[in-house]
Amino acid sequence: MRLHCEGALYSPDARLLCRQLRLQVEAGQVWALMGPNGSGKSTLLYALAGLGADSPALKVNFQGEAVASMEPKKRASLIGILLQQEEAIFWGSVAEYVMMGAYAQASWQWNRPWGWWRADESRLQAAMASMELLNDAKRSYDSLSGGQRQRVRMAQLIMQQPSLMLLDEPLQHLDIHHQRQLLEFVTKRVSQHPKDHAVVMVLHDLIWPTRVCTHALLLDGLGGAYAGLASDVLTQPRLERLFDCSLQPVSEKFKAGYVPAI
Amino acid sequence: MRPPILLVLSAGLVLISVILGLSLGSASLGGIEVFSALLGQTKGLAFEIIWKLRAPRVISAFACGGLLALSGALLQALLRNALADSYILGVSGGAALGSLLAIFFGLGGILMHLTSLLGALGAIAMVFLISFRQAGWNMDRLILCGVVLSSGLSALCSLILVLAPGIQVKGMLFWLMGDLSYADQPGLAFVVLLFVFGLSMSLSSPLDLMGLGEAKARSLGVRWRGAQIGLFLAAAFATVAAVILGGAIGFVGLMVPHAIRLMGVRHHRFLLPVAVLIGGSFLVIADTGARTVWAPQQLPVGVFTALMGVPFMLWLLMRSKRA
Repeated sequence: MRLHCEGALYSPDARLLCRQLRLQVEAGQVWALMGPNGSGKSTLLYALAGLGADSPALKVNFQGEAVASMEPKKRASLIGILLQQEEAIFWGSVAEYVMMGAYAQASWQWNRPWGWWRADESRLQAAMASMELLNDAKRSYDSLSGGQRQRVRMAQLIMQQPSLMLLDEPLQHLDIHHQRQLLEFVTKRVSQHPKDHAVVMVLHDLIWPTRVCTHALLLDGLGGAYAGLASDVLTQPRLERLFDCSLQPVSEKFKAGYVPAI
Repeated sequence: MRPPILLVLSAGLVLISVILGLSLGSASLGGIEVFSALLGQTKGLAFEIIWKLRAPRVISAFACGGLLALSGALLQALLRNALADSYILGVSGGAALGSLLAIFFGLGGILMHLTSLLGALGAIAMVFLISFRQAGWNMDRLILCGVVLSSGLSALCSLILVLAPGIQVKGMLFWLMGDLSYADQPGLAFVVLLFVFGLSMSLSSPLDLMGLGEAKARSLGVRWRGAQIGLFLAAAFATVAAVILGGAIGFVGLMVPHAIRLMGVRHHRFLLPVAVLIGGSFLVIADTGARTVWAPQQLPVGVFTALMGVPFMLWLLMRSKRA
């Protein structure tokens, strides 16, 4: 798979976020998307997912096909997005919520007149197991805590099985155990299928990106962008400038991460 | 309750309500008379009453209730608002103004149907044009717009009620509360019911996902704009057909879908057919009450839908675990 994106990025209220963006995501890559608040990270993910307002300024192609005009079900089977915020009104159970991820793949069949919601029980179990949700399968979605909901939404994305996962702040609300588990899952998924899968995720801390990402894209919110190998991009001076914050390196197994210096 | 069981039970309810509606009435017929007339074995007064008077009325009530419950279920899902009902698009206000004007100017029959149709379509067009003017389809704006327009139209209706001579006011009140006394041509409404039901069933899976919000639904593969336009039009047509047939019968479109959700049905592929069956039979029973309780005087059926529905709904709300 290959996702190619080129052009200028504008916010929904037509503010210029990035003058000249050029991004190529190939199979096998794990991208960190970083930048200060309001620098256009979510806007970019929306555009990559084909959900943004039709903007002629930014061209996004998946294997040469424009994502904005792709057939919705086909697009959903190729590109999946974990949204930062959801306005979901959902009264059903956790398992039902996760099952909705299968909408794009399951089609009506004569022997399954009630459709996709009975699509694939074993895949549903696997998706919930990967986010440690098996014990919560029957609980109602709106009784869950913020972190649990985040895992349920991730499980739904896993159920969707897209080639490219776009994750907008996947670690929000998660405890350390589940942060590690989620990152391990998505990076393993890519390393086990290096010809099919890729991930682009918005991360805010400076510990994880150097350890789990192969590539990084920095948006400074002032019109500039910097993309490349994680080891080239995520350097202390550049990150200090980007976040306007002096940093303290912490090293772990020869890989430097950063924490804010006080 | 498991949805398939509820589906079977509601089909049973339809049967019971139809039998009740056909056998009860201001002319008291015995059980054997009704039974033999239903089978067509005796051609007499009972046969005439049941097949010429009661059957069209029962069918009308069923079509009307089914349409209202269906459009209420669709609009609650589309607007993602629990307080939405069939009339949120201003249909009842527009149709009410149309029919009250018709009564005021002494127009009857088909002309009155025509003016209320024009009123309903005018109100819908206005709500849609104002809410969907720009790129953003703002659901809050649509709800506000519908509410504002409805209150304006109801003020105009009140004005007509005040200006109208006393003898017309009763007819107007019956129309405003919902009344099936003149609903003897249910054919077209039934066609609309079948069409809207088929359309919304074919979109029932996307409808489930649309509750998750536009971005999420689209990312999961829903053809958002197409499904939204199709379902809005379907809901609007269903409401217009119901209002033309029976006036502004309240409560069915709000309550029936909620009651079904509270009973644990959330997937629209079950919720929609159960809503049609329960909405239809509920209105048949309410209309039977309206015909018989004060017989030979007929009461507006809207009074009965509220009197039967409110206690039931309150009871369901009290015993449901979810607030």
